[in-house]
Amino acid sequence: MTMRKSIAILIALMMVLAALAGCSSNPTTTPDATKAPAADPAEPGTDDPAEPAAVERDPATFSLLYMSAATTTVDPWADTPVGQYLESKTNVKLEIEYLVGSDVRQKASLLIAGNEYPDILHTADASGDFYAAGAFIPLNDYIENSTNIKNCYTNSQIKQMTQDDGNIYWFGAHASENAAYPTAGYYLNMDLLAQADYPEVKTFDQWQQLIIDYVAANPTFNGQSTIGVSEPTEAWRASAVQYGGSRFLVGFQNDGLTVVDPETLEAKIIMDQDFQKEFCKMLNTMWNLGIADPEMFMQTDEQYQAKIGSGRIAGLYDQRSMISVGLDALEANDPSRMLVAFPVVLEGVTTERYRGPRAFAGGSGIGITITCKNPDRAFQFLDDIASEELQTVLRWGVEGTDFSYGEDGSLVKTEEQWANYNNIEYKQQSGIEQMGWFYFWPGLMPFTGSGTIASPSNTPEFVALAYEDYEKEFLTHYNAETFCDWFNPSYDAMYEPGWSIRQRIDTADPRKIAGETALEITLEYVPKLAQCKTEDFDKVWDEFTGKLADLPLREYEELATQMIKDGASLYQN
Amino acid sequence: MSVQSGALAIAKKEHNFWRQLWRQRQLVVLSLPVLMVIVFSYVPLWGWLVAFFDYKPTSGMNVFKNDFAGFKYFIELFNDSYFWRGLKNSLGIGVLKIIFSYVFSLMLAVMINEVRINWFKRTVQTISYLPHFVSWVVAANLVFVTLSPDSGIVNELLLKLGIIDSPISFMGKPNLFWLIVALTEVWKNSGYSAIVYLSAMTSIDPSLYESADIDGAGRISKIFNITLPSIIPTIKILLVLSIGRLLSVGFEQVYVLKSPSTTETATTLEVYIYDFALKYAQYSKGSAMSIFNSLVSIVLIVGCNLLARRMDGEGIM
Repeated sequence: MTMRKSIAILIALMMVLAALAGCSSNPTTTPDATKAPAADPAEPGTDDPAEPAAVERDPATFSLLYMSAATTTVDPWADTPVGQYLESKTNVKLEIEYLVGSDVRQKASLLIAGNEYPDILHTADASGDFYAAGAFIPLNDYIENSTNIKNCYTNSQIKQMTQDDGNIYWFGAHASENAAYPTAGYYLNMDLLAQADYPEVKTFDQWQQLIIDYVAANPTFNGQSTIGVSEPTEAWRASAVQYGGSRFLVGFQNDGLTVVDPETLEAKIIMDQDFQKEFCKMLNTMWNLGIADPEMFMQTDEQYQAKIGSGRIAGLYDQRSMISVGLDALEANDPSRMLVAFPVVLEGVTTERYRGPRAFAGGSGIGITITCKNPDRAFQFLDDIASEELQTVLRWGVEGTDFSYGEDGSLVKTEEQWANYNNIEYKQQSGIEQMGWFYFWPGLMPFTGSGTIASPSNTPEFVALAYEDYEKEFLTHYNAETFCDWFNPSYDAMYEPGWSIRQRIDTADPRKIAGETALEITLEYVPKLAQCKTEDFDKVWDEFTGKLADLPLREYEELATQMIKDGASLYQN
Repeated sequence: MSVQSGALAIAKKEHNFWRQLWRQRQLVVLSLPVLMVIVFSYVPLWGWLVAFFDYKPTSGMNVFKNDFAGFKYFIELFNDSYFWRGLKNSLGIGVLKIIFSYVFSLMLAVMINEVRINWFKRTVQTISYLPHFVSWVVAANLVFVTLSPDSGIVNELLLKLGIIDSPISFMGKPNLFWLIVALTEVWKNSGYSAIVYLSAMTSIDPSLYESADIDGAGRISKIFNITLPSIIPTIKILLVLSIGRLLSVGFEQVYVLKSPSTTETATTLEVYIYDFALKYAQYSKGSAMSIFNSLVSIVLIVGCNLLARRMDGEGIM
């Protein structure tokens, strides 16, 4: 069914073979690191932070696995000016590997079963697995003695990164925010909006009706049938239909497979809630009208994105970063059918939290693994990367080509450099923003030296420049400056997000297993709920919730609630 | 006996041992495959222990570091309705696959055997066994594209011919899944399996056909009275072997062909082990399932052999 999934299976088979054939042999991913003499561990932080170039570092090679699919074939380290600049400053060769396919937990299980990790590992959704397997070395002492890294995290963030055993194993991810586009929403085609005379889309019913009317009026596009609604259903991308789309309808933020009451901090599993039923009901309505994507429940993520790129889709729910490939293709292909997100809620719901909190997520990030040959040198490398100079290079590019320093020391880009920054291909070729896993400095904060907001995409200059002409033209119909204008702004986080909680719960915990099993059952029943006859819908729903009732999901809720409440005090400062 | 002469005797004995080893060096080399069987088939059985412990990956190879769980995971398994569903799907797909692949590969072999034009025979044979070498990943993509409800060729054809009014989502129908697995298996592997039958047919004594000709037998009668009875031993041995693999219905085939809509009929035991156990690091439960899988296979293979022996007095093992 899917190329990537199967490649993953192939790799699985190869790994099993490798494990059988050579338990003794240890493939050296770090040949240089083993040869190089170890750096003095007692004083890892004695070097001048501002100028890592002034210090001669021993040459070293490290491997890094980033737990997400590659968006380009360009190797951001070896093939780009930014990567080469970083290499010259840190004297480290980085061998970057990406996740093949989209199944993080599966890859994690394979790594753990083989007990052979890359030197630097990104955890993504599998933090709990890696933690249980003891894959990482503790970083507490390193961080305490570091030059740069300790400045990148507040005390409360350090506390949030600390695991139950008192150790820090990975660097958490700072929240980022796209100021030009909302993170998630119920999307509608611009052509649809134009035909409906640019309505303000507020309720779920209205959103559905717009799609139904549009497909009735425009049954085909480019010789193919118009698709009313499509959703991703492959591997973890299925989260959009399992729980992702429905929580926003009643004004909750993204808390993974739970929703959390902002007042009482009580967590509830989404899958058997009434608003999830509403979401499935929408799929069912569209399916029985014959305007849902007939391949919705058997398509790969690539096919889904290709469909988005073709412009056939009238509406969908998703997170913007997940469909960026499809949207880029659509923009190149036919910008008049670009998708625009709306903060849709059920009738009677007064607030929405689509853009979510500005949270810090201690639940996942990168760490140094136990199979790394030279952890001291690896940490020194990460510490060098965390210096302001290299953090600037990571996000802004190479000085001279991509930006220059203004008279007051701030970071400045010329119009052409901004245009380059706005060009995804240029960014991929130059390595700018290709290595988000190294963002130790929070993107929303100004740098201490230059005083400029760390992430260029959060500067006011960028938001004004980010839009193409057709987007500016579109916004005039709504009297809006940005596509975020009709969304509520993001806010300060009051508790650790539920998705981060889910990552932290130990995999062997029966409550976690219950949660994950419930997801598998949901993935089986959403297609049934969508495809059944309208009069059978309630019957199938009861059958589905009956199956979920057999699982200890209420215990999962209690655990999540407890963890959220325990950590809530950390969010006060 | 003095100490010295004793040492000498041992030295001599060792000497003899190496000499003998050298003399039998061909035999030693020939026994290497046995070593491979031990390394790859018996040593991994160590992993079965995992099923009887609360296994955590941190303990690595030392299973005994974990708490002993006894038959906890087996009991858990037998109380698990999804496990029984997986078993049902495995058996269903397995039986269908055996029936379909037997009928079709035998038919193909007989038909190729009856062709008298040599170049045509060879062409058909080559074309029919080529799909065997295509990976299931690629094959599954072909299947999906061909059967797609959204401009797939099968649906287009049926629509044009007026047989159906609206496209059928073949790959999304749970009740078609078993059939699709069996048919794709036929398409992919019957040409290859036919080779075995064809080679068995070439060893049939031509004088049998000649005497049948003299007796005035037609083609059909020759097929049923000479060709098929002559290759029954081959059929039998292949049947017993494939029944032993009944529960291993081909993980990759099912995994690449299944989709969320077909979960109900596509979750075979192997897929269930993978999706519910391995993916969520429940190694003990997964091992328990695979032990169960092996036990069922052994029972089936022994049972089938007994049956074969009962039927005509000779088994194959």
